[in-house]
Amino acid sequence: MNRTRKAVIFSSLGLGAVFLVLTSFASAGYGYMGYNGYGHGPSFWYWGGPNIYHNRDVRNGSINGSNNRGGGPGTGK
Amino acid sequence: MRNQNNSLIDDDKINFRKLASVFFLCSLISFLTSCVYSGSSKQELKTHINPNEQIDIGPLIVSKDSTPYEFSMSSSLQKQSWAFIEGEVLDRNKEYLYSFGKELWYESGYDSEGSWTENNNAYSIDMTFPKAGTYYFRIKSEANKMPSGISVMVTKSRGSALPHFWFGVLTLLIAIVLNQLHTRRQTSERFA
Repeated sequence: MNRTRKAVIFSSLGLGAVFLVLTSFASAGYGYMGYNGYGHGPSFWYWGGPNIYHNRDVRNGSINGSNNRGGGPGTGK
Repeated sequence: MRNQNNSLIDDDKINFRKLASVFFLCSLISFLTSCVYSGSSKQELKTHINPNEQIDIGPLIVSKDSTPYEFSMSSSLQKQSWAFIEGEVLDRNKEYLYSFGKELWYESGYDSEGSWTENNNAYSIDMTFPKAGTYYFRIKSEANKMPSGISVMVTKSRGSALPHFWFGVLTLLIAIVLNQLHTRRQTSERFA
């Protein structure tokens, strides 16, 4: 068996094993808000969602929060 | 004799292009799997609310630990308006767990190119409920001109798209590097 064939077989097995392990993480909702408990935010790998607030009283930019906001995008086009 | 020697040398070297194709195939399968996981499996809640009031929606019955859901919200904004729409996640006793929110807006105007409109009137968040149980959502809104309505939809997801998406990215990068190594080796052998 030449080295290329060995490399292809071993890398296929390795990648397949990692793929299967990831499947269990994916089924359990890995990386989303709440996966690591409500005290933590979503994973670093998750992007594009709204702001998350862990405390009802201290929420910058939310209703009754400490920062003012509003006015839309401001600059328009 | 020379051909035999070349063949032995070829056997001794790993063909990076063949290896790259394995990683590329793995990346393709990972991206497809990621798409499958990002899909929704069942719509759990759907409601249209009056934005002037604070309203609780639910209950959302989560039957299994670590179940992912997608919460989507869209609003019918008026022109030149903004609205901050917030959702709180509450447990079965309506105790606060966490909240999320985003400012939505609708702007329009005229410039040298004519009229323009820009808006961002919807958002969604993926969330995982670590424990099975009953949950509620409390929707609050604040705006300069209240939107005519807010639609909320909660759907059960098949899973998280993140693990396979990022694995796909990683394996694709490795495939590109291996392919480059193969090209470089071919070039250096040609000039050797």
